[in-house]
Amino acid sequence: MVVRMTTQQSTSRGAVCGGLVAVALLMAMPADRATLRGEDDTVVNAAAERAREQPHQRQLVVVDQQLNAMVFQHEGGPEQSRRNALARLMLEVAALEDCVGLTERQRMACEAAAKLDVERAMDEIETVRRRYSGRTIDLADPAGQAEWQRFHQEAQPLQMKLQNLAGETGLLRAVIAGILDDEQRAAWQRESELRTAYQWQCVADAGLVQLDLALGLTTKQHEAIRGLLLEKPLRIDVRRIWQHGNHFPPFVCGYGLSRLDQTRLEKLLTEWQWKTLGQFMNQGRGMVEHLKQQKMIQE
Amino acid sequence: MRQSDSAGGMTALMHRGLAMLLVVPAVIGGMPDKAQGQIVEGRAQIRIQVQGGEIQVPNQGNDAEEAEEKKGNGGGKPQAAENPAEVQRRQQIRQLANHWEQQFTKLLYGDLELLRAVCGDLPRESRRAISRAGEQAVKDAALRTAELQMGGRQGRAMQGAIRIQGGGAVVNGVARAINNVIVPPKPPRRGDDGAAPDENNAANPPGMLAAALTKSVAEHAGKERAAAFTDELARRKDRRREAMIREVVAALDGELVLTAEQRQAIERSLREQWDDSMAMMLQGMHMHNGVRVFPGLPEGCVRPHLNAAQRERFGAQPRGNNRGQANWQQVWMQSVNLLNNMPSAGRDPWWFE
Repeated sequence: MVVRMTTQQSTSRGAVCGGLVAVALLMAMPADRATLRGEDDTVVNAAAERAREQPHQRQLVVVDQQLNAMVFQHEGGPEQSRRNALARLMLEVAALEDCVGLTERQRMACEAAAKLDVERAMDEIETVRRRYSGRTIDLADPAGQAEWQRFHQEAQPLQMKLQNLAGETGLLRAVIAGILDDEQRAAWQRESELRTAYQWQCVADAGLVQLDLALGLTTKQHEAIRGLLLEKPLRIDVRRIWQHGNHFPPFVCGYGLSRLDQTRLEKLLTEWQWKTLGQFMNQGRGMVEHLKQQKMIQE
Repeated sequence: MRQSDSAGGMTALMHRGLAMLLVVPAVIGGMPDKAQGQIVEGRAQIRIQVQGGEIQVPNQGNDAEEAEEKKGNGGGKPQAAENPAEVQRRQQIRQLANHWEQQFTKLLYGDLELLRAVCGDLPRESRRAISRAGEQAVKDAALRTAELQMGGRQGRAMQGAIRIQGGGAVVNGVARAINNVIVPPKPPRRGDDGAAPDENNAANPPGMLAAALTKSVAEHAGKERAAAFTDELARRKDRRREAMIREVVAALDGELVLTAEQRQAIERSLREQWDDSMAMMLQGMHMHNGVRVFPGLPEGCVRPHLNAAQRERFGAQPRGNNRGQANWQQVWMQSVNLLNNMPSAGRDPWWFE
């Protein structure tokens, strides 16, 4: 607020009035203004000044520690992870041997492929680690945030790499397909199909337990819905699903139900049950992008 | 008198003094006619009053019952100022009970839908009576669950008259005073056959709900329909058990690469030895050196069916805390928590209009 005062000859009455006006103006001033300002005063924003003077608050992240945490979580480090990954692939080979009866040559080929799969995965992880070795990123800095984003894009695919080496793109899978004879291949195919069906059955059952309680399904209704679900299985990665306990199976089941013939499904239920199931399926549909991104659903 | 750990300072001194004033004279036969005070036992603070020479433990946590007591006592007599900690505890119990009421209501709506399928058409009066019984059971179960969570079991267990007899005290025929310390009765036990707490046990609120509905159905729709409802509930429980067993086997399969034959054999073994508390091993992911372990899993159900390589990976499983009252609470809580994310379509008007 600026106050302009002009001097002029005034009668005593004018002086008194002026004084009264000045007093009134003073009283009308906001309480927090301690001083009057003149025209040449500069208004300063004290808060901005303080922000400029304060040192930049950094948020530092050591990148290779983050990589270790992401890739080797629960495993106790790279060496233990390597041993676990190899042990798991060897169990695949042992299961194959139990099922189809491998020759010595076939078994050695499978074991060599398993070792190569592990080494290849560890190399991929090491390549990313070397790129970021010793680097620290400041997450408070926009450039740091962009770099963190790039790091995450590279590191995320590595997260479950060692746990999923037995997947379809692995060398072991390719070798198995190549070295088995027709009879062995048919037996192994049957075994794989039974495993896939069992995994889907478990996820469906976990979701149906929730529906039993929420919808009050009778035994007949439960069996009918289960039958429909098992007729149309989803391709899923059960290790990724069960990693989080029983949290995701109901969503996977809900999505599975949403893909079924809705007319057939509706006929099995009462109006109230159908309304509640609709909400359950919507939840599953709402989660599906996340489930696919996390590779829990592989479709 | 034993003192709670958290009590201290002047308040504790006052409690001790008051308790001594009441109990010591009682023990030596000099009970005052009227008095009020508190006994602090473990974490519980138990209010007591003396009427006509007899020490009484009024209801500790239920406002409605306390209002009834006040009415019975003439309604007008002012009570002594209450311990703020006790007031806060009762508020917390009410808040918790509200939360549990919402969760149990979802169970109620599901059970009513099952009942509707079992009973078929029912007269309006019967439907209203059954749904009211369900709603009351939900409130009762919610309150008892909240009290359990707040350690109110001791308070409730002490409810009733404490009779002082020549230095001994008896509470509901069970507790006794030893060297001026009142020992509360033991918590409810599991059945002799090792089964889960029975349906009317405070440790199984969903069971309480089912029991209340069954009783009401028998009364308003006939014993046959009640039996059909009980049968459906039993089958639902069996399906739940099967789903849990398969979940365990699926998790083992993920770690050990089981053949179909091995999965079936392990399922059979688990079925023979299954105890619902074993479901706790599925809570969370327990890892040891990067290998998932299953606390409380009976190794005899699994190890005999594995090959040498699998046995090496399987390793020793840690012991779980599968027994005990607290774990039974976690078991039924699993059922209730299943409905946490479950949307509700609300009441079926058929039952409530």
